[in-house]
Amino acid sequence: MSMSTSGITHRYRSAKAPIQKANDNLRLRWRNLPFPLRVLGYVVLIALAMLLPAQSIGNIMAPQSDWPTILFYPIGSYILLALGLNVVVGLAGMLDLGYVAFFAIGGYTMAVLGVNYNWSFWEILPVGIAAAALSGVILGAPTLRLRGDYLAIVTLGFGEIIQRVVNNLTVTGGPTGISGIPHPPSVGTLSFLTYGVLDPRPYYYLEVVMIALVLFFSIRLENSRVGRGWVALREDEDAAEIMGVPTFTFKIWAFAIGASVGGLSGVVYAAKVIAITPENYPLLLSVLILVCVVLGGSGNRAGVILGAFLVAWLPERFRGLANYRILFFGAMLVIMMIFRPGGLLPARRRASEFAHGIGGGQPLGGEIQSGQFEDDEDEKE
Amino acid sequence: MSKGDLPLGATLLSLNSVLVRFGGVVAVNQVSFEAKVGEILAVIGPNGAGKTTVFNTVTGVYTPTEGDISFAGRPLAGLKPHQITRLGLARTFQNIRLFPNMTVLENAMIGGDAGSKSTVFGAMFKTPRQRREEEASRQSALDALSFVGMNAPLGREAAGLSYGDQRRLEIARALATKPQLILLDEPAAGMNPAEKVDLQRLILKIRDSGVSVILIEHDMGLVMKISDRIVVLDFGKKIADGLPEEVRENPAVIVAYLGAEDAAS
Amino acid sequence: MHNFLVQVPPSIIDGITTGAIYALMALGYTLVYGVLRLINFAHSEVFMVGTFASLFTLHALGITKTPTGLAIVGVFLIITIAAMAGSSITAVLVERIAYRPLRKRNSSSLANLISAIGVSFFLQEVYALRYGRDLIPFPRILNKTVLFRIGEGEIRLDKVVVVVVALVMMFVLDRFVNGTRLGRGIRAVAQDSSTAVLMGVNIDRIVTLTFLLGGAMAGVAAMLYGMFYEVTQYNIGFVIGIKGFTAAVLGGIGNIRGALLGGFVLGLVETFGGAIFHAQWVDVVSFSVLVLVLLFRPTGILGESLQRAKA
Repeated sequence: MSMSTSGITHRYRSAKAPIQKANDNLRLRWRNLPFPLRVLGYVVLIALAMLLPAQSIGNIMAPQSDWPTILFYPIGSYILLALGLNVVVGLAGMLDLGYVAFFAIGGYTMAVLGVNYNWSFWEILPVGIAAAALSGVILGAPTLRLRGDYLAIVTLGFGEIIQRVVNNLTVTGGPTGISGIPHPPSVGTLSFLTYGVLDPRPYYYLEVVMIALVLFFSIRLENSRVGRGWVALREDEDAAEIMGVPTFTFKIWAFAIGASVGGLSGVVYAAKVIAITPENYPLLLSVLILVCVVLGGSGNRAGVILGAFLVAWLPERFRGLANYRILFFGAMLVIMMIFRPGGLLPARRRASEFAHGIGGGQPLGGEIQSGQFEDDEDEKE
Repeated sequence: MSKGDLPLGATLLSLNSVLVRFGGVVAVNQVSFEAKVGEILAVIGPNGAGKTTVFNTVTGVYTPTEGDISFAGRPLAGLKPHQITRLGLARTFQNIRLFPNMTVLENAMIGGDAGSKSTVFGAMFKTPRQRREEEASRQSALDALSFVGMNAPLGREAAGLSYGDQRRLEIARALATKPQLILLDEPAAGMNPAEKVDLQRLILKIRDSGVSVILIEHDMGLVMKISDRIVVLDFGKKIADGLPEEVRENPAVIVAYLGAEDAAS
Repeated sequence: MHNFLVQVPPSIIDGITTGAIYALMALGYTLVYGVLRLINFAHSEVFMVGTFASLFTLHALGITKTPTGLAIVGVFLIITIAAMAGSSITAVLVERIAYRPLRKRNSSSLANLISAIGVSFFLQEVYALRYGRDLIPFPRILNKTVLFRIGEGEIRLDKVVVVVVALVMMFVLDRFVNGTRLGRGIRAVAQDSSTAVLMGVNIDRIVTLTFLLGGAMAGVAAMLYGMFYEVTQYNIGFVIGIKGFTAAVLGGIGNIRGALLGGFVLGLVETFGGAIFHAQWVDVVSFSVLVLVLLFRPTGILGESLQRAKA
């Protein structure tokens, strides 16, 4: 009678690229290191991050730019943004094309509260994060019923709405934006913690701390019920829901967490640059951050950091080619999708959203409940 | 493994005149039956009889157009699938639906997580409750994996498992939710005779551990051997309900199957 | 209130004019979606290339001032064909390069969308690098003669041309899809691609044809846009593309006649929105329409009719 014998071995290809294997091995070895050695590893990493703005490194990495400046923006900011977007796209498998909106919300929170209300950076920071997270939830709650590309288009529309709203409102200064944004308060008289106009390094260090915090929490999240739930709903949303994963709640969380990281980087960015305008928040930035995530290997933190670094650094290093960067990244997105959809360092738990997941293999029509279980029907045999 | 406290033989799941309509098609037509604590109930019927639709309706994927369903005395109307699972009703799928890029242990832990309540803040700050729940989830995943006799290493990705292990992992994932009732949708599909014997033992073992079973299966040999009771559906309607020997002799059932065979040839 | 009433006739006229262009764009999204269940994100660049193709042709013809008499018709025909050719070829190339390899690997809609974004930005940059990032003016090819007035509303020659040409093209397309053998192929694939393959339909050919048709419609839209607004720019397609997509969704994506309806409805919503709030909020109004429609009625006004309704 029944002929439905196709096991998943037919459906899921699981060929592993050598880089991915090396990546897995590295991860495994790291996890098996004794605790003190791992701490030592982190200390070495922090020391490296502190030494990174040195002039001698800058001479090699970016001879034509001010190296500490580009370490803060674009490199550090892209890394922060990419880590946030990775939660949404890489882990939970939802394509957000309006991510720049949260960066803008953080930035304008910093600008408006700092300039008009004289709040300090540390007072604004939690507000900016909360404002971004809240807008993430407000956007997410109604839209997350949508799947795949519809969600992407709605988020794209949201990003555009935010940009045009700040362009049209007086409180945000319209097209001229807001200037005179205060810096974070300096800590004592330490030069590397003196937040002024000239030295970009204090801002870079601030960003490093933020990146470390985001990494710390995202690792904890990934290794919890929430992280497992995200990956499960990315791989098979219906099955995840039926196995007890509150998919809707978890999607909202992914959106809110991604948004809050976007807001965080927005506040930090605005606190350095003194003035912001709507032009700082173009659609292009959403796309570039998406490139960071996809290029490095969505779902894999190390890959995402590498991707963000490359996307931010390459145009600065090769200034002559900077004009061609969008051309280059555009072409690269296509090439990546054709030849290496998992990215340079693919996440171990990935691939499926590119192979057949999130509404991909399944029909988009109807979008919500109806029809999604047709394949299970006996009738289909 | 059960968290149920109803006495043996009490009504666990009851469907009352359930009707499911898609557009103009009535997939399930006024179906009523009960599943009792401690039994293996088989739901059989020719292709297109609406068996899987019944499962999807019970687990909350579809909302019944008419009628109601209650589980352990509690009406399921308005509950989402994940809430129903957390009440103690787990299932497997006709065409295996594991999370292919997650490991064996992670797949099972998704089931184990059905017992957890802590979410983002718990995970970010590793609260004592979160640690406790994480450990409990791991433990029930491991218990379920050993219960089904999983051979593959815990770290292996589900996509790389043999067919039999994929079936076993799906059942383990469902058992890790610590259900009172498990719905198995054609678990024997694609299995060879030896694997079917293993499966038969496993299903009996599940029942004996205190988890009631509802089984959709086409393999009549298996159904007749292990079922305590059988419900027969045809064209969305229930045409028989009784002990295996009664159903086997039921003229309506014979007609339904012969008719279906005729239509097929 | 009085002010608003005065604005009603011009809002209707402008809404129908811009709506006609949106409707032509919507056809491209709807056709491709109907056949491949894919949002052709790069359709906006297909449009952009069309505007440049008609501009280049005008330059090549040496047209600097408004032609007169029969020459108008000739110029129109030539730039229309050029724009249609430019857009169709772009659309077909985009499909070959960015979508077909993914389709053969059975990639997800996410991968397709990322690939589309890539090809979109690539095309924009090609034109930005070559022709700069500023607005590029068109020579005037049709005088903006006022034919007659309704209150404050002016019925102008160029607006009439936009609406008439758009309606004719949509009629031709509708006839083609519903009345020819190739059109039947498109509908067959849209309804059930696996059965269509069994029945001997060559899917790749149908897909190419679909992109060709959608591209041609975008080309006509591009020519009309250039004639009407008399500018283009490397990223001109983005906003028009979003609006075309919104129109397609509004009318029920996959539904050819719905695209027409969606285009006009969106055009009207937009001009009235602009009249009520302010012109600078027009884009916010249409983006909001898009978000709201996707949220509350993702099947659009008419629902999906090119494809079989999902159970």
